[in-house]
Amino acid sequence: MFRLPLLKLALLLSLLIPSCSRNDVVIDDAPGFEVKLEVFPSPAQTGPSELKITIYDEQSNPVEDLVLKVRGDMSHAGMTPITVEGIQAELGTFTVPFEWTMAGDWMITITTTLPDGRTLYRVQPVQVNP
Amino acid sequence: MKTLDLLNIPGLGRLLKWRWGRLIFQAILTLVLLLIIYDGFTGPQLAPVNNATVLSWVHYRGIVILLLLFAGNFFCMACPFTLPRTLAKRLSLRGRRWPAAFRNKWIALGSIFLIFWLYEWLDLWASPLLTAWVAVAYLLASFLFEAYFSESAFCKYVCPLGTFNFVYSLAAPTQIQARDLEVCQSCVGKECVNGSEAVLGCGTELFVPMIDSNMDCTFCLDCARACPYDNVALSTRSPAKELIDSSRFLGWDRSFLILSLAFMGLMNAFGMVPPVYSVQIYLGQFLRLKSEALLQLVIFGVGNLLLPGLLLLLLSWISATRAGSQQYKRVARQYANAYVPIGSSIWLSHYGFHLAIGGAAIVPVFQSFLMAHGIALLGSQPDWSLSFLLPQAWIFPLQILAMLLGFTGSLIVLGKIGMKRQSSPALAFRELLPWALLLVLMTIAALSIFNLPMEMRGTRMLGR
Repeated sequence: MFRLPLLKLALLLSLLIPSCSRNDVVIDDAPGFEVKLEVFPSPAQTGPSELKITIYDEQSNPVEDLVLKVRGDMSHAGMTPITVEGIQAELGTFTVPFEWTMAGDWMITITTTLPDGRTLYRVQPVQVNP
Repeated sequence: MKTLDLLNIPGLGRLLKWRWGRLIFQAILTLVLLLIIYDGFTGPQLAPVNNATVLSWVHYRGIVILLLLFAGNFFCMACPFTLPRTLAKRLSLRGRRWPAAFRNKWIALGSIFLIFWLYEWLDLWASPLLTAWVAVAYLLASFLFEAYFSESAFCKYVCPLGTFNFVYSLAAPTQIQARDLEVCQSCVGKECVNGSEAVLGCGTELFVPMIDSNMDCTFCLDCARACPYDNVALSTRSPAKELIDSSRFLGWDRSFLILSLAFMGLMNAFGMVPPVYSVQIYLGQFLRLKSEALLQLVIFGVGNLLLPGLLLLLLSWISATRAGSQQYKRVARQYANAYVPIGSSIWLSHYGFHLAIGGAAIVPVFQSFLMAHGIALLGSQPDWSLSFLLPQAWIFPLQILAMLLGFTGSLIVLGKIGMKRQSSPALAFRELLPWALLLVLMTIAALSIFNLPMEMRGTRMLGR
């Protein structure tokens, strides 16, 4: 007798899932900004490396007065991430010392708060050779 | 060999046989499943920081192969995907019998190949969203199959997870059996398979006194609950016993499944080492294929299905011919069992690797999940340095050890089967030699793959 209402309730609850969201899911508020990521040496290889990041605003002018947080994650679940915080620009470029601990596909997440309070959030893939 | 009946262990036996015993385990895994679906749909879409991908591709796979080899098919016992099946039953949607033509493992082989192909093509391990969709697809499939067919058709003939578990539970140290066969002979109701008013009988329609294999047994223990004589045991056994003695399953499907699954283990690990890129580029140019889906279909179709299929036919023919026999199918069916230990050690080496290097990563991932919902139960700052369960230096030696144990186990099973089939060691050696050579080649291939630096691939979701 109560079977169908139970099924309906389960279906209704499942419809609610997409409306939920974690408060740590970062959304990029500045899609007009361009983020240029260069890796040295290139192509990337396991071991010590250097990332050079340049950020351009909507008018294609480089932006310097920012403090970046850079995080490197491997594409596969379960790998320790590498996080570098508090990076400031020199001569228009943010330079980040970085160690590729394993070959494969990495995702570099660049996050910063723009002077007007918006969040800039980009994820860029880097393939690292053995 | 003296056996231990787990159902006689005080506390544990009572819990397992309790009417709601299975539901407790299922409830725990259902919570995990709901977390996978919820976080996969709503959480950050970076695999290493999402519960869906970490739990599915690091923990589930590593833990399930360890459980199978050291305990038994306890995942199927606690499987959350069987809950929608129960709902289908309660909605009285139980339907017709599974078609006779498909009462074999061919569809299961196809579904397990399909999931591995999708895994490689879509980089499922790198996508929380797709991982959540896979879980939803499983829930829907198990519901629909149970609604349309009777006898747990999804578990028995379709489910890729169950198929994997069935195959490697052939080498598990536990099995359901009757405590006293005479009691079964005088039993009228056969409640273990038919069920009673209060308890369902075996979902996959196995009759306890005739069970000599873990194939198709989900360890649900409905048989133990239904038996009015308390005559069902969950006993320990020699892991090699069934591989040597099993006399059922005469078709090619089971032999093919066992060998194919061992090759899938090799190919799945091969998919994570540098040479796979070279193979992909070469084949792409040679076949003028641009579609990655088709390229992966060719590579894994050949490695997972065509090669083991041809080898099974070829080795059966050579082996039977060398022994002066024409029983190709029987030879294949018996000797294929020897590829269960080597197959399980390949999977253990691969999935154990991920569990060993990333098992502790669930701590910061779950911490950040709780914090994102305003719960600071496990601290206020996720410790992202947590990852390794074992020191990195131990992992390759442990992989070598697992492979050598698997190789030795397979060799012992081969030898015992040969001696059982033939009247003299010389004849047995003649017959089993081709199978042993394949075993050596597979072991060398596996060790070579594990010796290469593994690459954590998969950035499809980022648009590459």
